[in-house]
Amino acid sequence: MNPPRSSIQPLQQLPGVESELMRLVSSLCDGSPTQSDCRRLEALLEDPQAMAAYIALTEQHAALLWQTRSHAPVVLAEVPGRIAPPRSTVFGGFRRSLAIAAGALALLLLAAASVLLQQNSGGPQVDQTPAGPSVARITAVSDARWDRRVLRVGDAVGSGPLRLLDGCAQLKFASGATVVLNGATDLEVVNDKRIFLRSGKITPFVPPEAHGFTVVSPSGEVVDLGTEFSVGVDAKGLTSVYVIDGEVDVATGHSRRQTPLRMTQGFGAQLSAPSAAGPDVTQQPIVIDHFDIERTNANPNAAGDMALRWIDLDSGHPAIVEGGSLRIPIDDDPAWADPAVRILLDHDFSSLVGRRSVISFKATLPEIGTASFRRWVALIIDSSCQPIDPPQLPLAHREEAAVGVMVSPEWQAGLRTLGERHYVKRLFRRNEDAVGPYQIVVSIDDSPEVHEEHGSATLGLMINGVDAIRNKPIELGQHPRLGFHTFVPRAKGGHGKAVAFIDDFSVSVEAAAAEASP
Amino acid sequence: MTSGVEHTLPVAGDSDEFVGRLLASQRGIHAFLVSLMPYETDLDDVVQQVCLMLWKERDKYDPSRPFLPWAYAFARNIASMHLRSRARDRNHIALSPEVLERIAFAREGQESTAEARRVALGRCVEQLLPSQRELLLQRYESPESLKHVAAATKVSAAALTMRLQRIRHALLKCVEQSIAAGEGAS
Repeated sequence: MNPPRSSIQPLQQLPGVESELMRLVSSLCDGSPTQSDCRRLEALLEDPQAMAAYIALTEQHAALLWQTRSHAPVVLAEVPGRIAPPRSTVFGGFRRSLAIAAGALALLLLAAASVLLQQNSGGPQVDQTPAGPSVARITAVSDARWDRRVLRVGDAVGSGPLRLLDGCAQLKFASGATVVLNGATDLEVVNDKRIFLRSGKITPFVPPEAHGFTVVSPSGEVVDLGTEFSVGVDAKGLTSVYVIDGEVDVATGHSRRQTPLRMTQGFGAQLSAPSAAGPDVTQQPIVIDHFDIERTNANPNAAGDMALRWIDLDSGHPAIVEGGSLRIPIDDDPAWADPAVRILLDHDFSSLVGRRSVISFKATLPEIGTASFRRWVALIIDSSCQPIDPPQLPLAHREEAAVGVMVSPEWQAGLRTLGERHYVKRLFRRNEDAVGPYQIVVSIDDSPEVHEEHGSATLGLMINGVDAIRNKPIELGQHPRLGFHTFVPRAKGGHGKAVAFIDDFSVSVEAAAAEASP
Repeated sequence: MTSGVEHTLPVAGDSDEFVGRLLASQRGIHAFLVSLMPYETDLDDVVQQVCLMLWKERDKYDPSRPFLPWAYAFARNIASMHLRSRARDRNHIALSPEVLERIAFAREGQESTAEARRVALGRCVEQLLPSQRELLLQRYESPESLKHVAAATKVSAAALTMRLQRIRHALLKCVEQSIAAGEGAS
């Protein structure tokens, strides 16, 4: 069969057939054909001219879909002339590099490493009279300034208060646990398996024999289950916990009746309220505030599972964290790819599995081309359990500015699937001219109860206080990933510099629902 | 994880080029798939699948050859897989695999003017009556919204469908005329 070349023959050459073909193709495009429509269309398409018209019509359909449904920002009613945005084949600006943002914890680990390096260079190893029975020993110091007496490597530490004003120090407890104190730290040694951290940051390394090593803070308890983790308490008594390796149980408050939250490797949490009332874990969700972290070139190995994996594909205009807000600069540098694709967070959140969690953030879209670009906020779901590959990203987001939260893997969201499931599924889109801010709250329920009721985990999405999605069935998989993507149009005609913001990002994970139900 | 301070994704240098081509081809892949399944709610996902497949097979791509035809072969396979699985659904109606083959084949012949037709389409949409543009917008924003429009304007859904059909026809003619006049060909 010889398909027609070049342009399409005018349909007028198919006089009797034309309107029928139009009807059939139109109904196929709108999803309302009957079986007999399809068979009739198939018969008509035997004719090369009808085929050419079919192709032209579906192409037109595709162009309209592309621009309105999910891909392009051009508003039909306002700027119809821009249906076909210029294609850029220049991807010189599309640089792939990955910068790891390691947080305070990475710094902590570095501090730990530097302490270890210096542990043999301390002063003379003279035993000092401990405040109580010796339960620990100083094994390393680095520029340490102590509250009262000078503690050097080898010095014994008994039960009682211990205050480090500055520098770093490492203690080895009789139980086998090692604790690094980083910077100003105010703690109370209770015994060789229990310390009370009043303020400051510490990183316990707990070998199996010291299993059960517990850090008590003003807002809760962290019980080690054979792991490495770090705990920080700020001036207000808020406690942050990051699990470097293994598992810990975290409980808000100090009541034995409470069911602790088991946190696994790579997960960070903040015990959000001081525990005066002994709040229930379920009402005091664990909160991570990731944008407190700083970009750093700290050893990514050390950062590994606890700092957020952080990728910014645009190394020329890297996003920065400022005051807890993620600022994503957008430049109309002509060297930029079209669209500029950014991944701003790509992190394994296995700890969401089996629990109820809430992810919230505030997105403010860039002001690029406000006159002609529709804005939307997208929820993006990636079913890949692999770290994100660039080709999966921009597909639904060409030429638009979008900010989304991504969850994976094998997250079907009601899709019909086949074969391998690799989707970036947009569940929600919002056409708005406004740049925001949009307050986005994603709730994920992977609790046994919801599995019983819905047969799978569910997802809810709330935008600016309005329910957009409720109880959408999803598969969370074993290693869900969360990430931000931004997709930014190359500004046509130069819209100047702009910045998108993501603020107040937090992930709250409730205790397993089985334990949490009132 | 390597021990370097800077990480690169596990992608070789050549892949930049590949990613570039893939990104530039998405629209073409999308259009190709639409021609095979004009009404497909999961189309974006099929596009994703195709792109992922292409990414996985990137080593087999010969950069000296045009990208789109190479991509279409994958797109065709994934589309037919998708439609096969959809065929199990009640009420799912699609063209026969043989016809899809012919469409894919015939399409290659029209590829060269696709871009010009898209440009022309933009101008043609501009020439529509405001009410027509609005209807078109509503349809493509969300197919569901037509029902609301029908309810709100007391126009039957069938009448709206007919209007849409006429709009599509008008656009098609307009684009054909533009192409014939060589306007959008540059």
